Amino acid sequence: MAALPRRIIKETQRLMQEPVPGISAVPDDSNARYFHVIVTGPEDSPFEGGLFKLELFLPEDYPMSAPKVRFITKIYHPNIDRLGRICLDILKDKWSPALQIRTVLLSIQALLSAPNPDDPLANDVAELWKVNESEAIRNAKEWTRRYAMDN
Amino acid sequence: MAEALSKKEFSQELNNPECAVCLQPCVHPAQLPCGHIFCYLCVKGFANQNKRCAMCRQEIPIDFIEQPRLLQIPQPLEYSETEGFDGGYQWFYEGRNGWWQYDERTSKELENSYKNGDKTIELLIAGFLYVVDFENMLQLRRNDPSRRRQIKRDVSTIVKKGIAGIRTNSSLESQAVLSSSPTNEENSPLPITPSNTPQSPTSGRESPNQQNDLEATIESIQNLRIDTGDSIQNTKY
Repeated sequence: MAALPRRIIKETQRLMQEPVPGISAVPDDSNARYFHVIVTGPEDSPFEGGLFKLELFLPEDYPMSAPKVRFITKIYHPNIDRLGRICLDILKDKWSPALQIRTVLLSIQALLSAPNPDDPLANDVAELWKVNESEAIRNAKEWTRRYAMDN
Repeated sequence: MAEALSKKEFSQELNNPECAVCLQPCVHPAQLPCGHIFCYLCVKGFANQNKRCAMCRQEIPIDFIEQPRLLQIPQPLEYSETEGFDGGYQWFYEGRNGWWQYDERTSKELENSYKNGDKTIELLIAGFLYVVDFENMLQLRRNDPSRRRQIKRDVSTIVKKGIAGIRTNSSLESQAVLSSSPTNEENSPLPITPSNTPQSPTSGRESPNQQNDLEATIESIQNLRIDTGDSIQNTKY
């Protein structure tokens, strides 16, 4: 099949050589454009202690277009919907080809520390986050315990 | 030969900053007004897409791709002649009224794949995925195969428009040299020896239109007048 662009090879090598603390991204054995990702919930966030699985796929025209990223682990967050889709500007119109797998995953981890209910993807979650933040945070902690700490 | 190549690659590592888009040493490094440096073809890729610098998102002038600020002059004819595969072959793609030489990195990939006996190869060039079909010597855009160009492997000294969309002086020089005399060398930044002058009659097709042909001729005649006033009287009048 098509050879893997040098950029993807290089990024993968560097991810292995200098891993990002709290993030692991491993290419699939049969598809080097598909990554199995684990992000740890940031300290001092309702997601602390959780291990969140994501999938990341590099489209054909990467890096001219953004990677496709999705949470596999259920998460209670105003910018992540039931299907795990993420509302993050750098994955959409603010994508730049100078961003990398590494920077994308760091941004996603930062999004866990800084939920933005004014730009919601999961409407019910965002609504609760705005009207009763402490209850929303309790829910997020509960979901983290239930879905992101099972092993 | 292999040693010379690796030495050259080593010096390229040292002299060319890493491009933040392809993560390799810059090929034809181009500097945007904001100061950020990328490969010319990488800039072309994101300039086509969102017209902003990949590092700082500052807007890219509309004419940047046509008139890029290059930190290195693309290899002149003289130099590229000694390069190339099998003692001087290069890869070219069809442009309007002439051939463009592929950039060095793409050329290498093409040559490796060609030598390997592959029927096709996929390449990401300036943000688009292309399929090169070696059986029909065609380059097709993967998501729009109607966008196709002929390609060829030819001696590096053929008359060409430039390299990878960057017009090189060599094509202008070769025109001028053809119609004038060695005096022209005084005007060119990099001296070229007469042996580098392509003598093929097809060189006239190189210019986009007759107007340019005319301009080139007029220019070379003017050069003749200025530089070799004496000889003109003997040869021209």
